[in-house]
Amino acid sequence: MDGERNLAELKVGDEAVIGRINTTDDKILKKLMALGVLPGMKLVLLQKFPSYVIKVGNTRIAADDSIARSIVVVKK
Amino acid sequence: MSCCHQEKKGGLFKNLLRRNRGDSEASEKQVSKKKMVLVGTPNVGKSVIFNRLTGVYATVSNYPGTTVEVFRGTCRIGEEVFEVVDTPGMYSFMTITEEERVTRRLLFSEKPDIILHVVDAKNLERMLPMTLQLIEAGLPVMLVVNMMDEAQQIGREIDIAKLEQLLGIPVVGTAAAINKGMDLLKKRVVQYVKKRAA
Amino acid sequence: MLKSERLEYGAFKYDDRIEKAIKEIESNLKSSYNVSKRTIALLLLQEDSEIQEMVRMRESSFSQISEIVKKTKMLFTEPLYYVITVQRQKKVDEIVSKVVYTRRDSKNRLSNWLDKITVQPLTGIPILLLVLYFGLYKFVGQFGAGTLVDFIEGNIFDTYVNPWVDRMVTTYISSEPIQELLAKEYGIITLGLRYALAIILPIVGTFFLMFSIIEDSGYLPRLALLIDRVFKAIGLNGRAVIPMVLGFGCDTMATLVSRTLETRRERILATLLLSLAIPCSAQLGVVLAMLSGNTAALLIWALCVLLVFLLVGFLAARLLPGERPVFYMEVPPLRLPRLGNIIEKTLSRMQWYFLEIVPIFIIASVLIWIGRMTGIFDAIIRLAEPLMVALGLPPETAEAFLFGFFRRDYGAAGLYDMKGSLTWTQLTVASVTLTLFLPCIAQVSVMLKERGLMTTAAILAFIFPFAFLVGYVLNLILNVTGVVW
Repeated sequence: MDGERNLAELKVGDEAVIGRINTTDDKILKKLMALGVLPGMKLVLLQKFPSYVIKVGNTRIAADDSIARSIVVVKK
Repeated sequence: MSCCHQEKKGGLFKNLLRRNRGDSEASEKQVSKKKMVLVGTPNVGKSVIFNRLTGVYATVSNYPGTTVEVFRGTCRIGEEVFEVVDTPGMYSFMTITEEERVTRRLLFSEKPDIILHVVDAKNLERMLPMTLQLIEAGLPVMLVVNMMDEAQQIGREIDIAKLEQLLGIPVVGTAAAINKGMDLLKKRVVQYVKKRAA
Repeated sequence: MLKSERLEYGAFKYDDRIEKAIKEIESNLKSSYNVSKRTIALLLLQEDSEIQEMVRMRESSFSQISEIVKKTKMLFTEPLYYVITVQRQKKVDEIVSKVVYTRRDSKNRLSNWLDKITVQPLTGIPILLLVLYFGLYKFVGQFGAGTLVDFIEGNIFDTYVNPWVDRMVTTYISSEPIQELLAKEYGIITLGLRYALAIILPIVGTFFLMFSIIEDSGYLPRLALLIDRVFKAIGLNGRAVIPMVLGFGCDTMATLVSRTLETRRERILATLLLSLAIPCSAQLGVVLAMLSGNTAALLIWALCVLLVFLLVGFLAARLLPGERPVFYMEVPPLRLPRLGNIIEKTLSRMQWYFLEIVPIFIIASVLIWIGRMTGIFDAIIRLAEPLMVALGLPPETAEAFLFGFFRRDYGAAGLYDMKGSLTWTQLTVASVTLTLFLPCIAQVSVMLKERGLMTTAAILAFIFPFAFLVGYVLNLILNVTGVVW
């Protein structure tokens, strides 16, 4: 799909729509869903270091590299 | 349900957190107690509501996941007496952590008279899936949209009446930290259990 | 219409494939459940292991149900719990779009700015250091462990309580052993109670107050995300900051809270590090007071303990099998803590501390009394004396170490009493060894309860020789490099 990339490839300040969660790890998928990180939701990348911080809806979520790489987004 | 419900592990906090349990039980034996269970994700003010309802202090936390025990207290509204149970945080019926499993076992086994699902008004879209699951389960759920004040501060208005109509369950808006909406909540709780008993 | 059935089984439907599966499973569920069969069916479709187990026990048709689940799974490329969650979220979004109205974003500029600077490393780390310096060092270390302890111990106990108790006891009790049990140097009142009220109360109280403020402000998740990378190196993740920071107040409480960590591996690592390298506030207070006259000694102590923390964590994480931890956490907005909440929380933690920990002080006093009366103590002290000499310490410090076995801060406090007769090198080596040395009795009992006998025994078997090894090496280094005071 064109414009598809993972969260780690975005720049700080970028807005994007979550496309899918690309992970074979069941637990990561469930965790993200529990936090409301679901396809179709808009997110803003707030920072990348030392941890990723994203804003989904009105929730800010901190995540590490492995989680950030599993979030596939479509950039707006 | 056959699942053992394991509401207490550890036990070190026992003395502290159950301190007023014994006396309240003794004095209120003649009234049949209704059971009220609070559920919700961490950080939505569940413990504050528990505290406001019961006067028992449960460790209130602005850090996800510090409530590791199931807290119980007693609450009297008018002539109704409730045993109030505060559960560890729960995001979904599909459980991941031990705390969530404890909560689910409790919900599935304790036959509550009313479940208050406490949610953060700022993050309604993230919290309502759990409400839908509670409704799906046929449990007696009432939705408490808490932190209405903080939602307003970020420019968010919520049509509580409309939400109530769409969900088909009672919905109350509160700001428990500043003690707003608590009287209405209590009133609706009593109405609810009375109607349900009838 | 309070109990409307509008949504219940009605309005909210998943797609046809899921609904069909739900119907089929429902018809196979014969026993009664406290929740709807629809919920049970949905959880079975999502392959929830606990529910599967429960249904397997109750339904003879479990194999048919498994067959339905398997068939339904084949219809989708994604796992069913994913499909179900996404469909449910669609419904939620539809509801939210009808009830939520957003005005212009009128967010408070100041809180936005604070939110930002606390999570970015360039500003976040200096802020963290400021929080540590003022919160821990200035408030707990200097005000709590210094000013308050001096006042309560010096002005109240030393001047009034202890002399009065000693006088009463010598006047009214003739038996000398009983006199010693209650009063004198190691008595229940003059030592046990004095330590509890004069040393522990102010230190633990100021720590819990500080911790409650930090906790309620929403700062801890920020700390977690700042430190996640460091914690990953020691097999933990950012989430472990809560037990670790709490450990600086009370390692026993922290060990209990380490239960919130997700994997067994993380819980074991946290327990090990808490019992080895996180000094509790009582111990911290005494060590800070003891070394505060000498910045170099204080720095060497802090560096040694930090190094041990990182090194042991790093090695243990490599030795201990298990999955790598992942870190994710909700970051709540920073809030101004509410005074009422802070006070209640601090008091409830102190109440817990006093109910659970102080009785152990009393027991420890009694044990010390028994040990002294029977001569067991003298025997142990004689055995331990060569160990002290190996660390470059005078033999008398053995007593402090033995008391450190009962409570870590007992030991440090015992050392504090000998401060005048020790060199800075000796004080530094002794402080480091005592900090690493065995956890207190209360902590061991929680370790046993939470982690089990084997794990606890393994941890203790490691810590005991390791603490002395570190002390030995440190003494060697200080002597060889000529950094001797």
